Amino acid sequence: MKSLWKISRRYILTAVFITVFVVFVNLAVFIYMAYTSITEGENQNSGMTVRQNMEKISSRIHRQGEGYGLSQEGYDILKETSFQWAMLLDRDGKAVWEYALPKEIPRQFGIPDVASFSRWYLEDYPVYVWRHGDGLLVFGCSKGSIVRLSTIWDGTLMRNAKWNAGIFCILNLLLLLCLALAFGYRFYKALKPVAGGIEALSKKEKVEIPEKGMIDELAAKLNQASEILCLQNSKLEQRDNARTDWIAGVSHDIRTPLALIVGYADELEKEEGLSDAQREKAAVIQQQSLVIRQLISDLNLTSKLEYHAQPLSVTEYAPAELLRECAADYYNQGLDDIYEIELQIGPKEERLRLTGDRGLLMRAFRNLVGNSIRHNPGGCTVYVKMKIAGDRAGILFSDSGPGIPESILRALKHPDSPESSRVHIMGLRIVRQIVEAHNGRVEFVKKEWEEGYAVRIYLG
Amino acid sequence: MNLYDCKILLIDDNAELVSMISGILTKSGFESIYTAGSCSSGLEVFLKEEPQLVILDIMLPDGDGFTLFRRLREQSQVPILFLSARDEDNDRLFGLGLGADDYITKPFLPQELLLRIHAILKRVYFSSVQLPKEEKVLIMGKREVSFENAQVTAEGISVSLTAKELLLLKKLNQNRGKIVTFDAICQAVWEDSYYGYENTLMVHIRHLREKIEEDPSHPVWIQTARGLGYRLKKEEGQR
Repeated sequence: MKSLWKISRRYILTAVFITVFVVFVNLAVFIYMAYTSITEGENQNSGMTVRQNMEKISSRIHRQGEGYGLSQEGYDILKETSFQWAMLLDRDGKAVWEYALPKEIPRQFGIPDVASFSRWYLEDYPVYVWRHGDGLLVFGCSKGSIVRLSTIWDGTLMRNAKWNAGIFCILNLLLLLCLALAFGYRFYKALKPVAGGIEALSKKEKVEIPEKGMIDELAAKLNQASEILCLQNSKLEQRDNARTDWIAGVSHDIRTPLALIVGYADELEKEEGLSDAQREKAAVIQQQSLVIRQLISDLNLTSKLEYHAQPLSVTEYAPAELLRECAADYYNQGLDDIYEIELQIGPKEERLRLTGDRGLLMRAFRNLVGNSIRHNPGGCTVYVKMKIAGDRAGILFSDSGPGIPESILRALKHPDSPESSRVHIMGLRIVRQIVEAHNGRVEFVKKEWEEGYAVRIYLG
Repeated sequence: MNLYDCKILLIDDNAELVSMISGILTKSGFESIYTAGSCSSGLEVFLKEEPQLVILDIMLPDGDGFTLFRRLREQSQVPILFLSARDEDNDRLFGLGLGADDYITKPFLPQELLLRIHAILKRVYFSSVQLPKEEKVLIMGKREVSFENAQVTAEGISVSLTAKELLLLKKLNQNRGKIVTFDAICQAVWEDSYYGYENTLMVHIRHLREKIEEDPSHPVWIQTARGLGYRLKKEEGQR
């Protein structure tokens, strides 16, 4: 959900940025266009402004007898401007001089007429006015060439224009921010189910997002992906279950014939009518049958641990106690005198209590001690050393023998390599599976004086 | 009645296995072995012969052993031992939880099966007749410990054992010849874990040795298994 908030935040900031940017660009373009149009309008050929034109024309109108006349130079200037017509009104509002004045325009004006057209239009002609002595010069432009707007500003407002503009900008920005936040929230809300769906998908959970609103297509695709994944998962689970069941079935079915082999081999071993060599062979058959029993039991357990079909019966336990029980079991089952199991457990470690499946952990410990015994037929001392590492127990299993060869380690790391089929790693594999099922870790430690490795397990 | 006079009913659908186990039992001295290959015939033979022990498979052609077990238990309290190819902890716990006297998984060592049958029969039918001395008196060379009186007697002199010393010695005696871990001893004597009882246990062992050993500084009977626990040495020739 963090990433969704990040996306929404960026969305809001981007929206604010875009709005501010667009407003500024528009403002800039408007100002530029207004400026260029005004200057274009004003710079009429001679490069003079309307005001200058009017002033120049006014200065070239003189009294000629009863009326008024414009000098030739004045006419030339007038022709070059955008003015379509012109007239001079005397103080009584009567047109005393005119130039191309259209017929529909009256020749006599009252004060209200002057007040009106000076601000707006005269018969739809936009006009400019210029004071000429005690009269008024009126210049008309072509219809529609200029738009006149008359604005009245409050005096106080204009006096505090600087402040007002600031407040105006801040208010606008706040409004923008509020709008962006509102839209951002809407966007966040709309995307929330999608984000939840993706999160659920990553946890292999089924996703069912309502396919509506702006995310309808996205939701439909996610739902579809989830359905495909669920189907695949269920197929994988079915396959794993079938494999575990198959191994459990084989291991079950093999037990009764094996019981017969062990039983009859035992009988033959005790049969007095047989020779010593024959009885010895019967003993070997029995021993090897028991090895098969152990193997099928290991195979069953490893397959169940692999596919999480082995439920853990979790209780509190003291690792020190379990290690002592494991060692005592070996001694009590008649461990040969050439072997010794030495436990090194400090007072701090004695106090440690963890939770886990005692039966499975015992099996792991037995496998590790058993490995040392099995691979040192000439005898050895098995060292079991427990040390607390953080909130975990680190238990090192080593022996006075050569240790675990590197080929076993390689086979454990790469179970699919051809090497792994040549070495027997089931015991260590089970140890690793049991430890990992307890959120622990198995580590191989290089022995100081030997080529081989010792095993350290961490249990939490 | 002799232990070998006990009637044993064996219910398993594998005829070969039934014949082998019958052979093992007969060879070891049992005379009355009855067999059945299904739940229905098993119940029939059970009602007719009233055996002293039943060995029961779990997967039978006309039902499962657990159901048959319940029906047999409705009839009598005769000891029942499960013999099954199902080696799951769950099955084992379920079987024992129902009240079975033991649970053995196939394949098994014939010797193991016999020992377990003997143990069950002894416990159920012969405990008060044949085993009193072994459980009530502990003999260590010239010394004799009476668990009933909590007394150690040697050459006519008696010394009393404290309640904790008695519990400790009983625990060691129950597993005579085997290492009993510090933890198991503390559980039996103080009903607590070993942690915190290290010195107390050592003191009790020392006192016990003073009472039962000839030379307490060189103990013979209560042996220390370094870092693991203690072991009560077996009498010479004791099995």
